[in-house]
Amino acid sequence: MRLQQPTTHEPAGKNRQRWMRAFALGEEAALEKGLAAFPDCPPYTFLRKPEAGMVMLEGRAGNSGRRFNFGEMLVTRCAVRMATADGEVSGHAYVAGNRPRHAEAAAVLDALMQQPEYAERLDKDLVAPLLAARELACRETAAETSATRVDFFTMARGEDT
Amino acid sequence: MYVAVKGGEKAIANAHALLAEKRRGDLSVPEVETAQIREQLSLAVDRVMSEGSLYDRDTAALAIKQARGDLVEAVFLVRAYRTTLPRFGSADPLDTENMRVRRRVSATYKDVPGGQMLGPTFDYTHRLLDPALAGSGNAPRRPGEEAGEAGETPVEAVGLCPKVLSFLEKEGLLPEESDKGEAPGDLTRQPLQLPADRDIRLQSLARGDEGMLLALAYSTQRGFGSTHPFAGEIRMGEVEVAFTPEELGFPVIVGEITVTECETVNKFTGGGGVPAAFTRGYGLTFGEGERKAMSMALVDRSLRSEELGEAVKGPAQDQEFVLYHSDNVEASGFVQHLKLPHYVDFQAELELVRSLRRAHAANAARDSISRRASP
Repeated sequence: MRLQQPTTHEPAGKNRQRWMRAFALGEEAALEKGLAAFPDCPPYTFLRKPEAGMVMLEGRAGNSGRRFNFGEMLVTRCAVRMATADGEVSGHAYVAGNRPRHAEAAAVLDALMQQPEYAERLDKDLVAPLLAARELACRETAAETSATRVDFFTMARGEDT
Repeated sequence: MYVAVKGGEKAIANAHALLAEKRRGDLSVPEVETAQIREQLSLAVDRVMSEGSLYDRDTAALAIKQARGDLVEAVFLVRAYRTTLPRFGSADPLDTENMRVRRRVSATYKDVPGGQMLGPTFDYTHRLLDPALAGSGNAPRRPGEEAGEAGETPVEAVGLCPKVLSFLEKEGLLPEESDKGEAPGDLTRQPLQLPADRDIRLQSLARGDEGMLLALAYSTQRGFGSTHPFAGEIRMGEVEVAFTPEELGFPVIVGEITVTECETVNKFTGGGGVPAAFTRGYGLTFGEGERKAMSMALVDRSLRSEELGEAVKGPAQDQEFVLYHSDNVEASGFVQHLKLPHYVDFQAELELVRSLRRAHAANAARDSISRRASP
């Protein structure tokens, strides 16, 4: 299925990838809470209702060699269309698992982030905290891992030490 | 040949009701929640995701519950579920070098840049049953909390861990893996054809039965096609999945998955004017699946026998043997179909054996008459 691309689509940039990553990796509850703080969220319609499906993952022999199909991953996608002052904007989301609410919230947030009047506030109140929380969780995991850092010694045999 | 049977609907419905009752077990014991399976039987979940070939912890947990803990049955449920889902496309190849490592060990070098981290391993445990776990309310000690330990070893950041095998590559002692950019074949879309290229073999091994791969890997170590491997590097941790939806045209991070990767360094090739060099095997699994990743790497290497000019002597070197028998859904289906009613087949064979016996008896009688008549 091909989607009609609304005309006022923001050009893809690193910034959009950054927030889409934050919404995909963030907790569903955090996204919904973030959205709830936006009572002035404009109405939207579905370009594509939340839909579960799969993405085939690929590996590479030795991580640099021949690609192979590794197995699939369950994902949910969603796309929304939102009217703006000077046209309309579409929001997209792909999130792991069968999570229709997460996908919908992420798509709506993606649409909001493409509108300057919302972007700054949302970035400060939601995107940045989501990424910071993730960074913190990663650091904690790394610290736990680091506590298992091991030094193996090779035992010298005989008299020569 | 199997001839279909009809009937038994009521018995089947009652058997399924009984199955549901047995699944629940003693009603005075609280029902297990899928979230508990997901969190506390996480290695069972990993195995079901891996062999079911679908990464989703909740789906695998549900399958395990429904299958009463029969993991091969749970794999079957996951495989059946994945056939009901559309495929949105293929993700960009995973980059395991940029993994957020939670375990990383090398059996070839003791000092590797990035260090070695044991992570949550069963290795070095004493395999003594812990009666304390039979109760509940066990709060585990947090790693690094041991008295006197703090401050002794400053917590070093876990940074980027370069591939251990890259050190051998740089010295020219191990051939680098090369990518000609070919799109990988897909076993779930095209039937297996032999000889299969490495992409197909790796896909098949990645969804193959852990028990089968373990036995095959073991057989190569015991002499049925020697691989003589070293575990160059084993790493486990999280990698982010990037996917480029066609409506967007740029890659987006969809989520992250846990994988285990094993790279082996195997006995060398060379001679005839070619300098000696090690060879390599590769294993990659969903979740924490070290036994399977190691087995996969050994079997991958062993299936490369032909391309590396080795004699194919052991079962693990034989593509047809390995690739046609390592899928537990197919194997289980074919073995277990034997218990379905085969009345018509059996009647035919029964008739055949009876007629053979009649012929045998007639022949024996004729022989004995002619023996008596001949002297």
